Amino acid sequence: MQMKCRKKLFRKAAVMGLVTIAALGFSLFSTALAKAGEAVVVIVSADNPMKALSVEEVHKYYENDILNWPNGKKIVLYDLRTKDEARQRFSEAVLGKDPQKVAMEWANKKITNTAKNPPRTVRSAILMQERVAKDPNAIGYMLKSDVTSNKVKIVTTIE
Amino acid sequence: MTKKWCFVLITAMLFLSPIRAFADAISELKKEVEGLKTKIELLEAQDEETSSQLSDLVDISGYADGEFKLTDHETADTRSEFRIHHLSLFFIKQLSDKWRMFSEVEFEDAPKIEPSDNTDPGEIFVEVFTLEYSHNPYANFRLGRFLNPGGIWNVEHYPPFVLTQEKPMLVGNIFPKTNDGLQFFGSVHDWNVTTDYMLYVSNGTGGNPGHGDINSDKAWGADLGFKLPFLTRTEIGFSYDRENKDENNDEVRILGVDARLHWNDLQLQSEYAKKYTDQLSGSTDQTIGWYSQLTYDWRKWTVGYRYDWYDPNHRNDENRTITNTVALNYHFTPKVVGKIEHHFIKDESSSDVRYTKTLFSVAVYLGH
Repeated sequence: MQMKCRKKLFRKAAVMGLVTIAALGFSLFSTALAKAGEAVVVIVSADNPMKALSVEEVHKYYENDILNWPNGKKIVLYDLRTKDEARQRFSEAVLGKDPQKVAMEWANKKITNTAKNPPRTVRSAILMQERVAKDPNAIGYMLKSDVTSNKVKIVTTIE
Repeated sequence: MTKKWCFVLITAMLFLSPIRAFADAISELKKEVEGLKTKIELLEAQDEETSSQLSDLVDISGYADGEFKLTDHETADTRSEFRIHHLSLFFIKQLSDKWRMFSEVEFEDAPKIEPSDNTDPGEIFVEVFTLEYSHNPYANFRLGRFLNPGGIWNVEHYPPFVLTQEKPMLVGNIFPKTNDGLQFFGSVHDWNVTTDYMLYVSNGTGGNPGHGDINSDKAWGADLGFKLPFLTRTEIGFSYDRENKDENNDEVRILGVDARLHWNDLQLQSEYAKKYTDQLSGSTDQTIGWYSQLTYDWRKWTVGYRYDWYDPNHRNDENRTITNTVALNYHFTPKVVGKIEHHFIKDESSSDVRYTKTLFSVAVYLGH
């Protein structure tokens, strides 16, 4: 009787364990899924007078067609690393190109001395947020959930 | 009944206590991960600041490429051979918000230069050296040796970024490769069109213009480029270069037009240039060259075809050289590219000789 009870108990514990693992797995998977579908936002410093920018305007800034803000100050562009998910989605949506290709175009412009205003690459969204917050002429982008500071403001949302 | 409830209670406690403990452990681990993440980001920030301080000293980048050429037409200049083609180093220094220094030192064909031996065909030379002053997007100045802005390939010619090791025939044969002088340049964007303009005055070509001007009058030129929102992107350029005649030198006038059309991963690039040389004898020679190149990027591959036409003396119809080129590039990494290119050459200047040339090469970009 005691043996049977223990077996039952063990079976229930195993089932509960499996359910917990499955729930955890599902939670991780759904977080990743949420991140993958998450919007990329373009940010500027809270001190920047721009309130909103169209995707086309951001494209012109990052393509160096426009080099200055409407107030005449030079635009300071920030990029994330090419493997960063936000960079990949930004590059495809705004520039219409793979980030590796964009990086090579910048390298070519750099050594041919034709880069007018190349972006500065930072290693993480938190660093980009810090840099953009500090500089009223800076512009950057990141996943919406990575925006944690009130010293930056969202000017474009790319779904 | 009581026994049953006792059993249920014990069982529930048995299940719930490890779950609670598990949840607590996860919560602690989460806190620990967050702490570590912050620490890593701070370290990365410090590292980045250090790198930025180091690169503030001077930014060094460059490229290198080597190749193996296979040909069925061996001459003194063309053989089947390995070639250590280039090792080029760029030094860039941002001196202040407005001042900047840019230079390129090129080692071509791995030269062995010794005081007693000046017969080696290689070259070490300062390809570019400029001191720049940027006033605003519309007015910038560049003093020193700069690449002549005529056409596309003369500026965008670095092996890690071009389809073939062999350049189109007009490059370096019509517009001068570099100019030593002063350049004024700027950019305007309006009505969705970006206009880039450039004017320069420089020493005449020939000899070592970095040391002394061979012409009594200066050379001058202009370049105008438009970036238009047709297809994915369309670029059109017009170039002009002029060297004045004096008692020892011919007068040279060069006109050029170029276009580059991007449509997603397809790109068409074309250049045309014509040089008039008014000789001291009174006659005028014409040199004409043009090429069209179509490339398509697919993942890590680039495939391309080029038709290249060059006539060094347009008055004589039997002087033309026509080259058809097919090429395949594979980008091992964004900074390393392997190339295979095959050229079919029809040279009418030497009794209609036809031959082929195949090159296998690897080019590496050394920057960050």
